[in-house]
Amino acid sequence: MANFLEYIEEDIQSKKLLFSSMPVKTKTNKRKLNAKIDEVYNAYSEYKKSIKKYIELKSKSFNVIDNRNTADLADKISKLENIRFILNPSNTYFEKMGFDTLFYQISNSQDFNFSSLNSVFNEFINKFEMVNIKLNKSDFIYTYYVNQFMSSFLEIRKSNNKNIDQLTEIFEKIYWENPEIISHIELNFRKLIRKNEKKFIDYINKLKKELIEKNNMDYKNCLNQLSILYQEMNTIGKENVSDIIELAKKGELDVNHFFEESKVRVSTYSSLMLDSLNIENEPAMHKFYESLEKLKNNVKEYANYVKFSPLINDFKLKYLMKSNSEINKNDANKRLKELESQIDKNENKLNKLNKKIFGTTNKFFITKEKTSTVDLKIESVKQATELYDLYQKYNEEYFKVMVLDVVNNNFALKDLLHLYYSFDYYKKEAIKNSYEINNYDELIEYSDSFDLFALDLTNVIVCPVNAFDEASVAQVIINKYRLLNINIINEDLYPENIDSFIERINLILRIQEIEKSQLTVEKLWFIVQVNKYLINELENKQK
Amino acid sequence: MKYKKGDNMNKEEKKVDFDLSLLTLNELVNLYDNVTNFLSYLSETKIEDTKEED
Repeated sequence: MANFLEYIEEDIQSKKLLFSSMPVKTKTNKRKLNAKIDEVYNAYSEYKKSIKKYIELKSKSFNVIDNRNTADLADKISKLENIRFILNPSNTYFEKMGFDTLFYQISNSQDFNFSSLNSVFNEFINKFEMVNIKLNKSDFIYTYYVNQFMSSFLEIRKSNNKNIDQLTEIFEKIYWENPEIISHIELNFRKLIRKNEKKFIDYINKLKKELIEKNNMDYKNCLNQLSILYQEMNTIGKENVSDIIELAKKGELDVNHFFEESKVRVSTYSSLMLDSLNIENEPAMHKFYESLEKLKNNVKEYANYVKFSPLINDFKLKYLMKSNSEINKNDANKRLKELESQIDKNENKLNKLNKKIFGTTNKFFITKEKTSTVDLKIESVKQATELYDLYQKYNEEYFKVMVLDVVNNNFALKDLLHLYYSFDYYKKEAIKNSYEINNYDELIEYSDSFDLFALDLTNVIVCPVNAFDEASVAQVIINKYRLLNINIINEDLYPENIDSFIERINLILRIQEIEKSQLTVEKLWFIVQVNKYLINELENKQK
Repeated sequence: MKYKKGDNMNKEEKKVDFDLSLLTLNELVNLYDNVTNFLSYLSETKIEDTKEED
């Protein structure tokens, strides 16, 4: 008795033969042929329906339901990360309030549209309101132009008018008179923050106290708990069979490589074993898989160090070279104080000038003074621009003081990650200087991936920044895993080869994951095929 | 018609078991592919009506 497949194969051949032998000369011939085709088409459409229904059900029956629930864990981690951010002992109220992030946005205003820039100004004002400071136009008198723009800005903000056309018009008018208006608004905010520093410090201190009391933990406890949760997340979040099914469905892995007879599978197994192991030897294979899992995590961590090595090297060059390390911390502090008093002095000078400008422009009759007001405005813009340079120097010194506070001979990679994580402005500056970044979005991508890496408390590679070079860290990994019978060579850890090396490890780990589950490679292949049919059908329908 | 030896066996051979559960996963995929491809072939083989007279 023939099975359905054999019958179909035979039937299709005979039907094709039949159609090819039917006459098609006349209209009647053609009608007869078409009628016969329709008849067969209908029968086969019915076959297809039944087969489709059957294979879909069968494919579903192979599916492995993912019972993991990482949402609660992710929520706990997120709450603890907020506490970690506020309790972080390495930075100040300035970073905790997020002022550094906003200043970075202002100083890169060329990458923003006008509306986004207004949102940044708005966020500054919101932060002042958080500490009960209501800013008004008399707070924005850094220059005449700053006052002109910010007065309109505050008015529009107060009226809750979402239409910024009027503001755009005012901005454009000012911009042609004073193209540095944005930098000067930045300085105005910097001055206001310095003036109200105590209120911000008190606000953060109160927040810290509340968090400590409410959660009954200090910074160290918080890190300990986070470390446990990250490890738990790594264990739960480890790729499982459901993940493999999803990846295969998306076409992100080739199931054909999973079959026992696959050349890729065979060569991957043998290429990763120093001494070949008997697959039947379960304890030896278990150890092999366990080592591969650890190696994968180490290589991923190493890949991050490779990714951020330009940043690490830039830091070494700037702050850890012998000539720089001799810079005395006291000297740097002294320079910071000097710059601070210079800024105060210059701002007082500018303030006096502004008083004259505002005094003259408020007069009802402007006669002789009209010319001198223009001169005063030009002079005030010049002074504000000089102040901007002073602030730039101040910012550089500020970070230097922070760095000198923590660096020593044992300053390790993890300390460097933490330092840049704590100072967002300087991290982004360093990223911009270390990579060829084309736009702001790309910079944010680097910055976010850096933070994710820096926050991960399961990183294990320990190395002083001074001694860091990619090759030596790679050698440590190679030496360790060759002892565990894993065949890993220098070339595997070349930056351009890391991804493919991880994929080779993944292939073996995924096969093992499938083998220890109720799924088989053939079932996985079947799920993928049926999924392709469904997608094709959907696409055809859409056409 | 005279009885020929083996006639019963031929009839038996031509019977078809439509039970899909008898097929392996590979065979099921082949079956679906064959049917789908044949349906496309049928659509392409059909001749459009012309005004040609008999």
